Amino acid sequence: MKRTCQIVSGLAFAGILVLPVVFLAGGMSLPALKVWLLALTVAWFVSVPFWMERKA
Amino acid sequence: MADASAPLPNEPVDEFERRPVPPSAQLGFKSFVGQYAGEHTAGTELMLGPLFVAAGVGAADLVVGLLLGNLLAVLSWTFFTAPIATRARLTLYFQLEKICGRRLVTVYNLANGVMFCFLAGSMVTVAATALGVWFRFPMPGLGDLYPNSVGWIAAALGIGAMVAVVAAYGYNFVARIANYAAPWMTLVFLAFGLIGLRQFLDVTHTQLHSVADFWRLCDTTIWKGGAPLPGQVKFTFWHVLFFAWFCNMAMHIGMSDLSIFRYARKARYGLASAAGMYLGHFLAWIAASILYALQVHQDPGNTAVLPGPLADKAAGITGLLCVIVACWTTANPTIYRAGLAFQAIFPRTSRYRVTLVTGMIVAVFGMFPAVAMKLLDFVALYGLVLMPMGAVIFVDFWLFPKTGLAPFYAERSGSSWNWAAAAAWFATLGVAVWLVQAGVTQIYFVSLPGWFIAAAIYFAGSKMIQRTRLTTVPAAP
Repeated sequence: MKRTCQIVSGLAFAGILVLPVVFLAGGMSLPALKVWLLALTVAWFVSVPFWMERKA
Repeated sequence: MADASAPLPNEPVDEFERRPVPPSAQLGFKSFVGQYAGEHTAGTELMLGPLFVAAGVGAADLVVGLLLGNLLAVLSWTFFTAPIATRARLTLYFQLEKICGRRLVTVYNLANGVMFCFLAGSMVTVAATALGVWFRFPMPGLGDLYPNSVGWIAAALGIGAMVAVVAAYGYNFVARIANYAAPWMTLVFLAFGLIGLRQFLDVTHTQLHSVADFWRLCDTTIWKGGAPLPGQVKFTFWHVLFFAWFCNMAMHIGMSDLSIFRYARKARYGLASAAGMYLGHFLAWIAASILYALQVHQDPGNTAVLPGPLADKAAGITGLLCVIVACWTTANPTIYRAGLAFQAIFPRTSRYRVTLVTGMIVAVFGMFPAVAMKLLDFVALYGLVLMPMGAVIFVDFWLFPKTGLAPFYAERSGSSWNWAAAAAWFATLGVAVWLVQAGVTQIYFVSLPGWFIAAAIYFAGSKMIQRTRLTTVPAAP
C-alpha cells in the first residue's frame, strides 16, 4: 500500500511538473491542463498521507 | 515570509527553552532545507511578485536584484544567525532575556506579536481573494485601504475565524497538511510562471527561437520598467536587492532564527536557507509577477492585485486551492506564534484562549486590504522594527568579550530592563523613522544604517552602564 501510494505521489508530482512545460511548448490547451492539474492535485493529496512522515 | 521562532505544539515536548540544545537533539542539513523551502513559499509571495510589477521594475533589475538580494539573505543567515545559534544554542527569547531582562523582552514579545498579527492578516486578505472568484463579490483594488463590500468583509471574517479556531484547536492537522502541501505548492507556483509565459507568447504573438528572444520578451513586455502604477514607489535594482535581502531581516539579522539554528550541528547549515529564498523568494515571486504583468498587459485598466483571480485564470481550481492552502498553512503557525508572544504577557490566560483572541484580531486585520496592498512597505517595516535587537545580540555575543564588557548583562546584574538595549532599540527606530520622514532615505534601505546605529548605541550605552553598575556584581557562572 505504502509503495503504491509512493508511486502515485511520484507520478502526480512528475505530472504537475511536466504538464505546464508541455503547455508552454504548445502541446496542450489551457482547459485540458487545468483538468489535469486538478486530477493530479487530488492524486497527490490522497496518496501522500500514506507515506510522508511528519517533520519533527 | 514565514517565521518559526517559537516552539510549536507538534514538536517534541522538551524544547530546551531555557537551556542549550544538547548534541543528541541536533539535526542534519536536510532538516533545514525542508523547513526553509516549506516556510518561505507562502501565500504572500502571490502579493509580492505582482507588487514588483506595479512598482515598475525592469527585467534585469528584478532578476539580478533577486539573485543577489537572496544571496545576501542566505549569507546573513549563514554568517550572522547560525554562528551564534550553534555556539549559544539558546532560543532567541532566552538569549534576549539574559541580555535585556524580562520586562524588555515582554515589550519585544508585544511588538513581535503585533507584527505577526498584521502578517497573518495579510494572508487572510490574500485567501479572501480566492473566495471572491467563487462568490463574485467586489474585491479591493490596488489603492484600497478599507473593505469595499459586504461580501469581502464576510469572506475575510469567515476565513479569519476559521483560521483562528484551527490555530487554537487543530494546529496539528494544519501542520500536517502544510507538510503534505509544501512540494505541491512549489510545483503549482512554477506552473503559474510557465502558464503565464505561454499566455504572454500567445497574446504578443511572439515566437521564441533563442534566449535573446526570450529576454526581449521579458525586458520589453513582462518587466518593462518605466513609471510605477499610481500610488506605488518606483523600484530600481537597489530596491529589489535590498527588499530581497531585508524582507526576512527579522529572522536573520534580527536573529529570530536563533531558535531554529540552535538545533544545527554546524553553522554552515545556514546555507539551507537558500532553499526557501530561491524557491519562495525567487521562483514564486517571478511566477506571480508574470501572471500580474499578463493581466495588466491584457487590460491596462485592471491594476488590482488579486491573487485569487490571477491563480484561477492560470490554473483553475488548482490555482485557487494553492492560494488558500498557501495562506492557511502559513497563517496558522503565524497566529499560533503571535498567541505565544502575547501569552508571555498574559501568562495566566490559557494558550487556546489567547490564540483564539489573536486569531480574531487577525481576522479583523484581514478585512482591511491596507497591509496586503502595501505589503512591500509593511515587510520592510517588519524587518526594521525587530532588527535592532539582532544588533544587540550580535554586539553582546561577539564584541563584548573582546572589549572587556560583560555579556548577558541583565542576567549578571539581576536587572529586568537593560537600558542600553532599550535605548538601542527605541533610539534606532526613532532615527530610522526620522530618516524616512525627512526623505533622507526610503524605508527599504534604512535598516542598513539602522543596524550600525543600534550596535553603536548598545555598545556605548553598555559601556556607561557597566562602568557604573556592574563593578559590584559577580560574574555569571
